[in-house]
Amino acid sequence: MSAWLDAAGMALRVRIEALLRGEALGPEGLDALACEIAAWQRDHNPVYARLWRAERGHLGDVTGVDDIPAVPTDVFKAAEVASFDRRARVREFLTSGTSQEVRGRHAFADTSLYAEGACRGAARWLLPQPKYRMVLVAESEADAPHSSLTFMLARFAERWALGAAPFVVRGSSLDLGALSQVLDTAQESGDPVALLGTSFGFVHLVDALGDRRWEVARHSVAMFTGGFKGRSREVDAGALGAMVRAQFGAALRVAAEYGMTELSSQAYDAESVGRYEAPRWMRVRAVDPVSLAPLGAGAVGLLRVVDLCNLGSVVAVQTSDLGRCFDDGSFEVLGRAPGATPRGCARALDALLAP
Amino acid sequence: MNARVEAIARVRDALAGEASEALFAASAQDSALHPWVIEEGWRTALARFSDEALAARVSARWAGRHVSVVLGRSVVVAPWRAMVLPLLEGAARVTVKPSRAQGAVPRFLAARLAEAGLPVGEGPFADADVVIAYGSDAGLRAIATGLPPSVTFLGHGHGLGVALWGHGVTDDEVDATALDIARFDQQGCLSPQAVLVCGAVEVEAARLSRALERVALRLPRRRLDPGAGAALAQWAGRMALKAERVWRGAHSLVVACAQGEIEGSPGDRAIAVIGVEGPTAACSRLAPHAPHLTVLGCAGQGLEGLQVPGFTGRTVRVGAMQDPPFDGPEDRRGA
Repeated sequence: MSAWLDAAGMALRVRIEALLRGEALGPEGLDALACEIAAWQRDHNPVYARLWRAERGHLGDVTGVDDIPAVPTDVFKAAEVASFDRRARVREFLTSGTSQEVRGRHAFADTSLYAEGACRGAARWLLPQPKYRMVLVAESEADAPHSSLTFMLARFAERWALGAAPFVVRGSSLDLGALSQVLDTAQESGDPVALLGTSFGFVHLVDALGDRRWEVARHSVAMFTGGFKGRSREVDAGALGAMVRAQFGAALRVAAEYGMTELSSQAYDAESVGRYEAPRWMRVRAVDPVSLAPLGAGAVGLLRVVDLCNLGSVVAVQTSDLGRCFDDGSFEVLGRAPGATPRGCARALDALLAP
Repeated sequence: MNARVEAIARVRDALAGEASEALFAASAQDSALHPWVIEEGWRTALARFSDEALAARVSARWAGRHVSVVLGRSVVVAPWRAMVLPLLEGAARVTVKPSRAQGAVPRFLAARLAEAGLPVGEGPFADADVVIAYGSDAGLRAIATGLPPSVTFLGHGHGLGVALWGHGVTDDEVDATALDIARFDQQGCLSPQAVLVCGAVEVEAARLSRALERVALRLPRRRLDPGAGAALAQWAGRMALKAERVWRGAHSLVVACAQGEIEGSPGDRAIAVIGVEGPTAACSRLAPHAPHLTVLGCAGQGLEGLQVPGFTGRTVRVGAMQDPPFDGPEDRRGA
């Protein structure tokens, strides 16, 4: 499982696993571990080394977590951002997009850290009960082998599902029969239900169910994630939560997840209060859009994520998401940064090579 | 002096004088540029419209015809030239259709020209004899295909400028290149989108980075919205994959690439400095972009006799890239 790691990488992995288990970090703390991971990745990842040198002017170590060169998400579209030999790749997740678009790629030599981190984060904020009747509002692993969300949901099902946990999205249709079966069973047994999936999937689900209603048991939860990307009508998160509760019962807790293909960890807004909390192995900072310098609490900037579970790729990722962070470590997501102000008569970037 | 030239000159003088504040306010509305950049842009542009330059463009090219000027997004000073030229060329009437995103300056200018007794107004191009359109290739195609065959169509597409540094580039030339980049925050079709250098690329890129920060003291970059900031950050990341170095200044972003193809820029003073073996290699690198290349800004030595296949734009010294002669077309494809 860890054959792709050399001794130094293995030592880092052991420390990350300890962190996931909740063990105390050494006196050096998370920052130092992040810096060590970054340095190891620089030495094993030619793409990262190139970016590191270009950004810093040298390949020397960093001493603070904010100095770690963060890899912009677009780089995942342009290159394989992997800290292992290509032959060791066992899985690759792709960002969503059409076949015409260039999609970001996040390769893995080992998905066990991802799975472990995801499950531990979910256990704290999303699925605190021992078992749930589960419905997964996404495509299955067989149908969507490159979806990181599907991968995560499948691991949740392995750990928490009572009985079958159907993926109810089948291409452009929904398997309402499978969904009804799970919900009917849960209603009879009184088991809590977990409905987990994409925001646009929930919109289609609510639309398709029409007048059908359930009253799920206490401790039930619905989690949606991601934007709509033109795949359904746009529904405000609050409105979507209300729609879902109207359909499945007032006892349903509505949570939101913040994750992305380029990361291995997730943050949760467990009660839909508008603030996400990240696990201790993930740190989110708002940075100035121009200087990329960290901003103070409450200031709006671009979100930059340090994710220690990204051992096989890069520990720091620069997103194009707008948000603000607070002193308690929580953060608010304000959506994708709006498109840059349209240019004047300068020929657009994407048109340059289409003369 | 021709009556139209006199009327246009009166408007020009007003724009440079008592009407300048209103003009700058309209320009800020249309561009978000820093006020000093707007002021410098108009001062330089209006200076080109001397009485002699205006008189030299007088002709009967569009005599008796209704000319519609359809504007796309542009640098803020461009609508002035677009409106004035058909007036000088004898149009019986000029109807302006501003772009959706930039209406303040064209409307302001049209109103001033009309007040001076010139036959200018705002409106659609439905009944025009001549349509002169500015915009993207797709926008121009859409307009052209919708016109009856009897209508004369002239399309001016978007373009780009490139600076080329030979050997021995002086500090003044570095500053002049920075000025070309800073003007209109690289939004124009005459703005340099890349700098090709024959010298040591990291050294030259560092010089340009410092010069861009220097020029920003008098021509600051516009305040970037988060979307623009994100675009710069993502572009820098992509470029860093092939770059030797990235310089992130308060008002600029410079990447140094020892080699490689010309890469577009997201604007806002983000520029790639790309190494080339020499002028011949530079010409090969430029050739694929020749149809859209509006201006080539040269600096240093050894660039004499430069021949870029298919290039019909202007070749100037750096510092003059954004300063086209009034009587010469900026985009020769549609002239």
